[in-house]
Amino acid sequence: MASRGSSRANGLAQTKICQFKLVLLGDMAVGKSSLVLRFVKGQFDEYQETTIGAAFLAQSVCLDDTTVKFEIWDTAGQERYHSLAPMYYRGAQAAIVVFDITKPETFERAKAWVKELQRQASPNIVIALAGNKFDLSEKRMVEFEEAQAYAEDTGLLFMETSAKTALNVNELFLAIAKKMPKSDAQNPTHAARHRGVNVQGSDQQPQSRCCGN
Amino acid sequence: MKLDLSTKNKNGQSVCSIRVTSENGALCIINPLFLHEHGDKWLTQQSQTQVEMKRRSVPWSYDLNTDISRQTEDFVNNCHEIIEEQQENTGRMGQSKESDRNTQGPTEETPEPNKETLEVGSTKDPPEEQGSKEVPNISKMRKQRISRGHMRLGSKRLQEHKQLEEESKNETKTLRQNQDEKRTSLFQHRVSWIESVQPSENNLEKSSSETSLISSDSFLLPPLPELDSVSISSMEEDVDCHALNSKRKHSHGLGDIVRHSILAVSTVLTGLMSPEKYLANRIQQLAEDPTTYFGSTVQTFICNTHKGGLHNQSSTEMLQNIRQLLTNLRNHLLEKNEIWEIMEHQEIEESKTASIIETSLYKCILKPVRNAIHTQLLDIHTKDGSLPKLLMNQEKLLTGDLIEQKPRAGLPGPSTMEKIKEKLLLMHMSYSPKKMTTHLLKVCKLLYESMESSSDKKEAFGADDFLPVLIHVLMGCDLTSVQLDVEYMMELADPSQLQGEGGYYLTTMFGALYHISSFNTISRQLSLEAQNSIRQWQRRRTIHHRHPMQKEIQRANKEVPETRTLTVFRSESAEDFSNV
Repeated sequence: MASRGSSRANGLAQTKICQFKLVLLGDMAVGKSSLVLRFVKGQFDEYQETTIGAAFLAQSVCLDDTTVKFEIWDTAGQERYHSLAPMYYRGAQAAIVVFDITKPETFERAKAWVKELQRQASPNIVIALAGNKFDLSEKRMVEFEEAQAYAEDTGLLFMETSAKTALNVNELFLAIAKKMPKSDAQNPTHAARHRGVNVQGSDQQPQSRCCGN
Repeated sequence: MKLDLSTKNKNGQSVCSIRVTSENGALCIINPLFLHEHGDKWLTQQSQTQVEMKRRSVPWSYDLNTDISRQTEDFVNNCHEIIEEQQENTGRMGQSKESDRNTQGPTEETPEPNKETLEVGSTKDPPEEQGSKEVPNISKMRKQRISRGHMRLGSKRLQEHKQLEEESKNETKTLRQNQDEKRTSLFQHRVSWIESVQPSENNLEKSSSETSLISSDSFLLPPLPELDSVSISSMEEDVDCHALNSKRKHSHGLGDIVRHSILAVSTVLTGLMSPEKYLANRIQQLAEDPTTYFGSTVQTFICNTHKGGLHNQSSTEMLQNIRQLLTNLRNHLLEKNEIWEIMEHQEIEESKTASIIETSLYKCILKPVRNAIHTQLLDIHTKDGSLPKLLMNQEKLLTGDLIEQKPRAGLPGPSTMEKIKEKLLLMHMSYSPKKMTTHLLKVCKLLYESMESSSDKKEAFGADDFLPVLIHVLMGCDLTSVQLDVEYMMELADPSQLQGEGGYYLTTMFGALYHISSFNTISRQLSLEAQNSIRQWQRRRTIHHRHPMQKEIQRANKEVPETRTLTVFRSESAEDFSNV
């Protein structure tokens, strides 16, 4: 947990640290891991935790007076591993359900995931729907309005993203971070451990850079 | 490397001789009077033998790891003797302090010249400085060190040794008085520590009646028993419960004052030791002390386990009971004043303490019973049919009866497979869930590396690629041990360790095994029971109730509606699982 220390050291004097488990769901090859990698690479290294591979990533973002650390659990999208998914989304506070806007069947699969999450995952889970591969929008098969209407009906965050061009990638994660509960009670261990020292005079910069856009 | 420095005063008389030898890493300042009396021939002789002694003299572990079983017995006897003697000395400490100082020093007779060197050193450290309370402890500690030398001596040798010492004392008394004044001026320059290792005539040995040289040798000391992780405590782990208890009575039978003084002195001596290690060693010590709640709980558990106390429990129940014990004892230690005192003294971060305690508990509790747990798990899962089923599916998948889709990412080559198997074996041999997780992560890292090297894909691999590769690789491994290890880690690791990367890959490993074992030949889908069982995994591993009562389940049902399926499927899935 190297970055927990470093983010604390470089963090803001008065920030809380909240840690959340975020699970990625969606059909195979819709760009789940590309989306997360784009998000992680667009961030400051010091807020990033080195991991052995891309199936698990950890990344912190600054949000006002809070540092939100995401532990991102990727899942295998193949249908045959569907039944393993509950192990991954159990205890997750956030989920991103990804579909490919050029493949309508992935949107249907995404709807099934949302349904399953709402039925089986933690009751307060924050779910975001991401219509990925916006860069291929000329081949679009799922209309923006359709997906947005569905998201509104089911109470999801929704954005069309492109892992390739980085469109809406940071925005998506920040929108989720904003929706996360920040009370200490939710995160007793991490909030309480923050020591509030070592300001290093860098309050402004990291905050504006990592929360910008 | 050898470095000799001699300082001479204006009369051309040698005042101080410093000798550094790389063989044993000791810095030795020798009283010129001694050299004057005996010449330095013995030193040269000794350094010749040091090459042979090298391995013995530097790491204590060398001594302790060889012939442990034989030495342990000797050691117990010697310890007993020495401690009895020590107690006597404590009684007449007042007088002996004085007489020791007066009787030690350069001698004309040199039956064991190296031993004399040490005595010379010791006389120059005024014991008064240490305070009267510390004297017995210091000599006790020294005796414990000496006892290692004595281990090879046997009691006959010990007697001879004492006799010689008495003789030399008497003979040097007069000389010593004459030269006392001169010597006093050299007090601050003397550091005398040469490790006693060999019983041979030419080697150094410390006299068991010496009072103190603690202030001068403290920075060159080899680890004291209580500071040394590879010392008595490690040796004792291989001894049965009875031997353990009797020995512990000896080592802690000196009463609170002595023990606390030892702690105080050890605290001073830990300049060379990391605070974390110190705390860990202290916990290890406590675990071996049956007079404390902590020690007796640990010992009782280990004894019970070896007597078959793990039988007649389900695997989950057994492991969760152990986890509960670990948690309880960790909380107990966290409340203990002594731990807080150590922490304050050693400046250990508060957040680190729990983790150090947890790791130490693995050593105290899991290490001795690791094999018993493994045997029991193997037995349980062979009987309930889950292991045979897993192995049967593994075989079917390997022979192509079942066709698992080939992963699109590259599979590791034979050399990587060897490395992976090696790591899995290391994982299997570890007792600490934390360490096992580290090995697990190394396996996963090897997989990523082989995937990257055998593919042109520029992007990193996500779970879509990783899981199929993992499943394929696992099919070529010893699934029995992997299955048992995964269960061991899942249930025994501190729940906080199950977050983060370790938790992710452990989950993935569990999922991969479940996928293999539940692969349904007909439908090629996971059975409904398996699906539900997996769904309940996280809940199950966090249940710490020894016997989950129906009431609790009902209460859970009210809170989270979907858990209603839990009560139904838990029983069903267990049955179905064993029937297949």
